[in-house]
Amino acid sequence: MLGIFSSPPFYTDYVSLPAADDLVAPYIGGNPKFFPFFKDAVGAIDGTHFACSPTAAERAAARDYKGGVTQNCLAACNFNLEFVYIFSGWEGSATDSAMFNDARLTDLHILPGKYYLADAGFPSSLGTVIPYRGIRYHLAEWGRAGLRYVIVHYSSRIRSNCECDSPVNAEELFNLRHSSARNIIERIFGILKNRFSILVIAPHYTMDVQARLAPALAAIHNFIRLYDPDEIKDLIDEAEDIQPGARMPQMGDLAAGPARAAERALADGKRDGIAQDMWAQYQAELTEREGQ
Amino acid sequence: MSDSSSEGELEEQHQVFLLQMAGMAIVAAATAALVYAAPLYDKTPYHTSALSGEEWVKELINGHPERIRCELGVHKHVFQALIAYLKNIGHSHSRYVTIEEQLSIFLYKCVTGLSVRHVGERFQRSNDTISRYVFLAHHQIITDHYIPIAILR
Repeated sequence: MLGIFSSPPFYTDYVSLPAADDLVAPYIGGNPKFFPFFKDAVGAIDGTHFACSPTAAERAAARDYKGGVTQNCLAACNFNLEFVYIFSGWEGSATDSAMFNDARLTDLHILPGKYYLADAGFPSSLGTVIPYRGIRYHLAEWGRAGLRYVIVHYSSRIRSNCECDSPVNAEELFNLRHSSARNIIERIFGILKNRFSILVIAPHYTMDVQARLAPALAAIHNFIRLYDPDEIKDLIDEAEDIQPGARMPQMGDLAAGPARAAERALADGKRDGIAQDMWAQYQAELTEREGQ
Repeated sequence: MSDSSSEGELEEQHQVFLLQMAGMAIVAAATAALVYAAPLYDKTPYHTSALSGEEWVKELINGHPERIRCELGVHKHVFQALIAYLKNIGHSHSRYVTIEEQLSIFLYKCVTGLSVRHVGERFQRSNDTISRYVFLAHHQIITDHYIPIAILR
């Protein structure tokens, strides 16, 4: 069955990259915090780790940043919680940007003008929009932001005017909204691993068999999304990726890899545009609320 | 005279000795064969549960709607849609294992992550049978169509 589900026709029927004429997903279009800023985002992309049992010779390479023995897997999903791309079988030590660069050179075709939301481990390119580095980012940080009045006295890196837990500039606002939109990829990983424990418990098969598990189960996940769309409601609360991809903020610039300088400048300009538009809308809304 | 008679006795003793040796060899061979063959006819059946895998799958399909969702990770109508898809691409029952049980073996293995032995106990099937249906490819061939898997490149 593994062979059937990880090969055409099943795999290609249920896992496919977004088409040019796809409409803006309700997840983006129905949320004034995301629309129209992320209207060209087709989904989110990230790496995740699955437990694996390689041969002794391969074990060192499979050692991930947390010390576990895993296979690394690059996946992209759309905003309807469906996988659109899976690239499995990487050693646990591979970085997200290495996988992404390789994927782009082979078969991850990103439509012109469209992009995926990605975290800071990815290069800033025309196909990805990544958060601003060195600025508050993760949702948990925002949750803890109420405590920041205490923290500020211990950390010189945090700006002085941060007693409030709302964004203080365009970059912070962008990161906050980027983080909450990108979170869908963490949810889809959480759902997949919750449903299929085999991805968390290392199976004793050869690596080429183990590498087929992720694509096969992602295709079945999409099949379930199609035939049982309401089932997801039972799962969403328990969904949290147990083995997320590597996050190495201090190594971000190294991990970002060789995106061309010109491309990076274009991508950063696009991101600045989005951030400024968001900030303008946010300020307008604040003034409107004050006026009432 | 005495020489020839003692020679005859010697000859006779030699023949008796050879016969004894041959007899011992035959006994040894027979014993070895017996020891070797004993498990073949003196077998203790392993999978003796009253509930066969096929019956269990029927129970899941006809039971509480959340039971199949819990054990196999999909609701009944999704399970049946998968079966319909598999049949549509030309997959069917094997001689002993129905297509429903084949799919269940795969899903149960993925949902639980249990070892082949434990899945075999659940379905009352041999390890070989479980492995066969976990991996099974379309028409027994994993097509060499490109699937993005790094180590297969």
